[in-house]
Amino acid sequence: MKKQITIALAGNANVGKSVIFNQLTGGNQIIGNWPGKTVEVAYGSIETKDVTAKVVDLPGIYSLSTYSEEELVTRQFIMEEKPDVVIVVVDAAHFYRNLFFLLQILEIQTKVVVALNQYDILEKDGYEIDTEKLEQILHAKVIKTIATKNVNLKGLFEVALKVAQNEINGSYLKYGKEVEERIEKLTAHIQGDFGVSKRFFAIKLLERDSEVEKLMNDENIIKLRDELAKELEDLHGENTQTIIIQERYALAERIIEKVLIKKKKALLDLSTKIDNVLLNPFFGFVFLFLILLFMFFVVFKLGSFLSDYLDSFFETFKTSFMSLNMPQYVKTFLWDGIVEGVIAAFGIVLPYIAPFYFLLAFLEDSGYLARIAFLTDVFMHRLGIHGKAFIPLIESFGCSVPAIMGTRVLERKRDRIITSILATLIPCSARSVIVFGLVAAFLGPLYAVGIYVLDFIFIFVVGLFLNRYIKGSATGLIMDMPRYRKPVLKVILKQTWIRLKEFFTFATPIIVVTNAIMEGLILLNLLPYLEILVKPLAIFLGLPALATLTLIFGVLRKELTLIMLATFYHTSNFLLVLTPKQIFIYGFVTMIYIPCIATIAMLKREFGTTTALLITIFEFIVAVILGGILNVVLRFI
Amino acid sequence: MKKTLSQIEAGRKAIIVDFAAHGRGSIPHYIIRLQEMGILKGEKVLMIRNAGIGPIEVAVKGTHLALGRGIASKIIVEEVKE
Repeated sequence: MKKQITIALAGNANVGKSVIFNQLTGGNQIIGNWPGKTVEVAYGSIETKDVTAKVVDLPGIYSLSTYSEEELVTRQFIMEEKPDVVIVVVDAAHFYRNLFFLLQILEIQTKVVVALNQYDILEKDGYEIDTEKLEQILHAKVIKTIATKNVNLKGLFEVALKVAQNEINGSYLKYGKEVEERIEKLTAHIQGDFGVSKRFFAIKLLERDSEVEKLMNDENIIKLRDELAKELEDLHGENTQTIIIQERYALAERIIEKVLIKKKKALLDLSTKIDNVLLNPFFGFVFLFLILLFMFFVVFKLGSFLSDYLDSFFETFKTSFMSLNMPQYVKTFLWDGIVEGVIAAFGIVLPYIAPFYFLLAFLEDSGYLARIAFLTDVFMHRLGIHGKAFIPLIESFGCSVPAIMGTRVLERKRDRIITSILATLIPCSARSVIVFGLVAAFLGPLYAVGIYVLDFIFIFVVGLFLNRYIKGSATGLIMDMPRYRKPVLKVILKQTWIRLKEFFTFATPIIVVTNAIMEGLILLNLLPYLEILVKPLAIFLGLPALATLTLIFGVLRKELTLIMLATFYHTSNFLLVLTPKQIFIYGFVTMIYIPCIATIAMLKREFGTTTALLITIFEFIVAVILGGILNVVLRFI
Repeated sequence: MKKTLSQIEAGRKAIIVDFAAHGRGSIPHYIIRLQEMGILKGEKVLMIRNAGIGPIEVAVKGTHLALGRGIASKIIVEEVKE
């Protein structure tokens, strides 16, 4: 039988982990959520003559603390799953910071192989690393790699396999005397097997890591920790967390002195030069505006082309389906109730969101997304969130479901909730379809722009309101500014897929099921009753009752309101059944009145039932009030 | 002269002296994160970008970091004269 081996890839964000992962596994991968957590972990496998290697791509992190869920997941994975070897991917061009992380992984005393990635960039910067010396210091194998050019990755894999089958090396790097003595003292008192070194636990205890304290659950140890920590704090006049960070960086500095060799003077940093233009307070925003405009232009051109293409494909399919020998109502239910739901996902929404997420991943991988966060930070701060929140907001122009998932890049729950609420108000691709197909088509493009402007003003006001009334203060931006680089197609495709997968696996089933229920209501002829029910609402908004009824379908998916409008009135020339004012009100209300069912479900998954319900009710009430005001105001214009 | 990091002009260097409102015991999480990212006492940083409003960009420990203005104004520094 073949030997089973688990290889984990760990490292900072933007070091090329995913490129290495893709090159090693050759696209043979599954991306799954970490059980019970909301962090993506990618799995793949490699088969050789006598080994089956499972490769795990852990999320990119800077530390093994508990600042973010990603950090916890990485830690738990190494502790609980006990990979046979961890490949720590290090960005050679940012060796100092990366060493800080590497030293923490070494503390666990798991088997480690170091991939010195992006080595070509380090050489371009005029440096070299003495890998032999580094191996001696770290007691670990070090391989120079250039992942994007597939240099040395095969060698890396072979070394990892070899190391996985070796005995573990017990030696470790030592900190300064004062800290080291106390770590050793604490280590000696720790009992039990935690799957990782006791030394790691001792260090984490000194850092007052609450997760490790929970695992330890031993009063005597905690007491001893308190004593030792106090001694250290008295000696250094600093908090132990700070002391240990300083120790790690001091150790990193000593290592750098020994292994980093300066060869020649570095060329001027091209990234900074580009940023002098792209982050310029004036040109930066002009460029940002142009790039977003370009994105939406491409998405709508490509989207409408793909959408039409898929539409006609399904249409021919429908003709043959309807000629089947079955009772009419069964056929109608199967088609309108089930197949239409699937078509909506594949034929209407997918053509718009897939190209959108592809372009977004392109911006992300090139490093420009971090610049967007930088540019928009001032503005976002008014709304109580920081620049990084702009990324999920941009995502929600595609679909709110993956956007809410995307708020996980934010560190705090407060930021995540505010951003998620704003994301549900951003016109997603389905809502844009309505604004284009109804308002722009029948009233002219200027009116469509008007709806967008009203919506953005509304979002801004809601943001100000949330910032004021949600407890807690705004967090500041702390973000790595990666250098610009040439995007790698495989990484872009993977990122696109992660976002799309959320739409398919999460949103599509919900859409299909609720669509079937709604179709059941129509077939059972319950609509006239519903029409009576929405009558007061219709009068308030100044819309016909039948048109108001279609709003219910928007809960399933927004663009369905338009389809139902055409179905109910048996025409797609909406000027015959609605006045221009009504079209405008209808467009505005559909834009904001409620998140669609898939978004509500996503809000529930991320923030709980109460929050999801509150957001839904709030948006419904506000939309109705604003729609009513619009109804009154438009009478005078 | 002591300043906050947000007051340093682009192209200038500064040494980190302290963090505002930070004593012993429990310290704010964002300060730990700053330290993990290399913003430590005694560390020399080069200001890359400071437009007077919005975030700043500094080079520290061989990497570039963007910091919100609020955070940068809590980092006490001493400007390095060259």
